[in-house]
Amino acid sequence: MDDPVTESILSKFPRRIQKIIPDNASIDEDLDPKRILLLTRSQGEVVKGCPGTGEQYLCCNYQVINQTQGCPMNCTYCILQFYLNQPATIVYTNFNDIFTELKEKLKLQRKRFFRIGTGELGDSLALDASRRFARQAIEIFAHIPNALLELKSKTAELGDFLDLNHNGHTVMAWSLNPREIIQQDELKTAQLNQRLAAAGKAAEAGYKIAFHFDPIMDVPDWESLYAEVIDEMYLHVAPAQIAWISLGTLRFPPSMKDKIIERYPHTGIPFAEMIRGMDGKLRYARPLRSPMYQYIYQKLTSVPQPPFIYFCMESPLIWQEIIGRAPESNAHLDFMFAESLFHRFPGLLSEKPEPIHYDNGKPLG
Amino acid sequence: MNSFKKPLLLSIKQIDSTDLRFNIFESDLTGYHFADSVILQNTGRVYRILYGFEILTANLEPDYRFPALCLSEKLPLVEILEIIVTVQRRKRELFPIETARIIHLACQSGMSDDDIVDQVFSLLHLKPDPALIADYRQMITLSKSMVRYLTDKHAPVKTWLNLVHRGLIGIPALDKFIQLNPTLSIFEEITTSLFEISKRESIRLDSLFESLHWNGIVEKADLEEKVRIRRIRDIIIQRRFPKLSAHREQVEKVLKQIPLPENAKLNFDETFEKKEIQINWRLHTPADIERMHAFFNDETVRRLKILLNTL
Repeated sequence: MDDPVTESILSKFPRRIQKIIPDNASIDEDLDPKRILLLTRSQGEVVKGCPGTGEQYLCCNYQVINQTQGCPMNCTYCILQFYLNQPATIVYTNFNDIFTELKEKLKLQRKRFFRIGTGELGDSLALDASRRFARQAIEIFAHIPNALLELKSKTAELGDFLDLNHNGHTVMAWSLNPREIIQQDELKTAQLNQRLAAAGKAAEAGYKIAFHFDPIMDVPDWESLYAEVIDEMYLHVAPAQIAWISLGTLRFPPSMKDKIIERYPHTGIPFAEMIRGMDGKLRYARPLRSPMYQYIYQKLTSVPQPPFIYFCMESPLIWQEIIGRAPESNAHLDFMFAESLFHRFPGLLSEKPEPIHYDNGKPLG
Repeated sequence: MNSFKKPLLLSIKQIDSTDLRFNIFESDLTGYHFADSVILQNTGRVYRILYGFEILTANLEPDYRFPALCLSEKLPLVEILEIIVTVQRRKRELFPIETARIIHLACQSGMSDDDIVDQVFSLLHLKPDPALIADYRQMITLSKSMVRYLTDKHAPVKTWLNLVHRGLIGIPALDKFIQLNPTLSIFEEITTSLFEISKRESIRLDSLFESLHWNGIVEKADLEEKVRIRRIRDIIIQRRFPKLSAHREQVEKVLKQIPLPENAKLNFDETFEKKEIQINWRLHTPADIERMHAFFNDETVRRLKILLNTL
C-alpha cells in the first residue's frame, strides 16, 4: 500500500469496499469481474506482441501493453468475455516498471518503428486507472523516437489529454460502427457522435487519429449505415490527420456463440451466416464479407489523400480482392505501416524505413 | 445397508401397481429375471416399488412369488434416491431424463430448491446451480418418442438441455421427424438451425415449420426415409444460410458445365475461404492419360476459369 498510484486511484472511490489481499489470494468467482477492480503489480512481461490469429491470416505485428485487463463496457461480440478468464478487472500500478520494460525492449530494435497500444485486453481510456497510465504513457512516448502509442477507446473520455505534450507520438483511436449497431451491441459505450466529437477535439490538439471499423456487421441496409458513419467521420477529422484505419468483419471463436446467446438474448450476432475460417473462428463467408469490405474501402478512399487502410486478421485473398495486392507477410505489412507513416507524417520517423528491419518480425516481448 | 429390513418373498398381488412415483429409470431389460433387483417399501397394506418396475410388465401370475429387498417405511426420500441410483449405476450411468425425473420427484415431494441442490445434486453429479432445477423439470415434458429417440442415440446431456433452452419441447413436427430415424448429428444440426432461424427472423416455430412445408416432406411416404431426411436438411440449410446457399448454387451451376470423367474428382473449399480448385485424377492406363490430356481443351479451361472466378 506504499504505492502512490494505488492510493491515488483508491482515493477516487472512498465509499467502495476496499480490501488488501495477499498475492496468492483468490477472488470469489461468483462476483462480476466488471465490478471488481484488482490493483496490483505485474509479475511478468506486460509489453508483448499482439496475439493475432492463425498464420493463414495476415497480422500487422502490433505490440501491446497489457496494463489494464478487463473492460467495464458490454459489447456482445467482445472476445474478452471468452479470452480473459479472470475474476476481476486487473490494473497494474507499477507504471515505472512497465515503462522501463518498454524502453529496454525498444532499444533492442532501434531501426524499427513500432505501433504499441494499450487497448488490446481492455479499453485504453474507460477506467480512471487506465487513463492515469495513458497520461504518463503519452509523455513518455513523446520522447521515444521509434514508436507510436495508440490509445483505443469506445468512450469519449479525453480528460486533460488535450493539454499534454504528445509530440505527435500518440494516436488517439476510436472504434466506429453505425448507431443501430452501437445501440444493440455496444452497450455502455459512448454514442457515435460523442466518439467523433472526441476524435475531432483530439485532432485539433494535434494528436494523430485512428479509426477501427471492427467488427463490421452484416445488418440490413449496411451500405447506407456505414456510408453515413464514414461521411460523419470525415466531417470531424480530415483524412490527412488519420494515421490508419482498420477494417475487420465480425469474428469470434465458436465456443463463444452459446455464451453470447445466453448473455445477450436480444442480439442477432450468433445467427448470422458464418463459416469456420482457417483459424477456427466463425466469420462471414468470404463471398459475404468481400462486398462489405469493397464498399467500405471504396467509400473510405474516395477522398483526396486517403489514410492508410488495412485489414485486421484477414486472408491475403481478401487483400488481393479489395486492394489489388496483398502484403507478402506479417513483417511486410508492419513495414507498410512504417512506410505510410514516413511519407504521410514527415519528421515522425527519423529515417526512411527499410524492409530489412522488419523482416525478422520479432515482437517486443 | 441398515436401511433394509430382511429380504422378503412376496407375490405380485401384494404390489401397488398404480404407485408409479419411483418409475424413474428407462427399462434396459427384455423382461424380468428372478436375479433382478426389486426394491420395495411397505406402505401399509401393500408395497410400493422403488426399483425394478420390469416386474410389473413381465406378465407374471398374481400369485407369482419373488424375492425383494424392502426399505424402511420411514426412510427419507433422499436416502431412497441414493440407494436406487447406486443400484442403477451398477448397470449404467443415468440418462438425462432419469436425472430429470429424480429432480421432479424431489420437487413434488416438497423439497425446497436449496435442499435439492444441497442434498440431491451431488448424488446426480450435477454442479450446484439452482437454474438446473427448472431446466430438468422442463425436460419431463418431452414426448415419449423424443425421450426414446434421445436415449437410444445416447444423446449427451447438452443435446437434451439445448432442446429445453431453445423451446423445442413438445413440438409435434419434431416428433414426426425423428420417426425417420435421423442420425443424432443431423438432428442436432437441424434443431440448432431451426432455433437460429426462428431467432433471426423473429418467427414462431409453428409458422416456420409451415413455411418450410415440413410435414409435407416428412410424411411423404413414397420417398425413402433417408431421402426425406436429406430434403429436410437441404431446405433448412438454405433457410439458415440463404446468401451462402445462393452463392453455392452459382458455383454448382458452373460446375455442372464441366464434363468431368468418372475417374476424376473436382473439389473446392465449401467455406469459400480459399479460392482454389482441386482436381484428383486416377490414372490406370495410357488411355486415362490421353483422356486427361483431352479434357483440358480450350473450352474446359475456359469453364474452369469461370469456376475459379465464381468461387
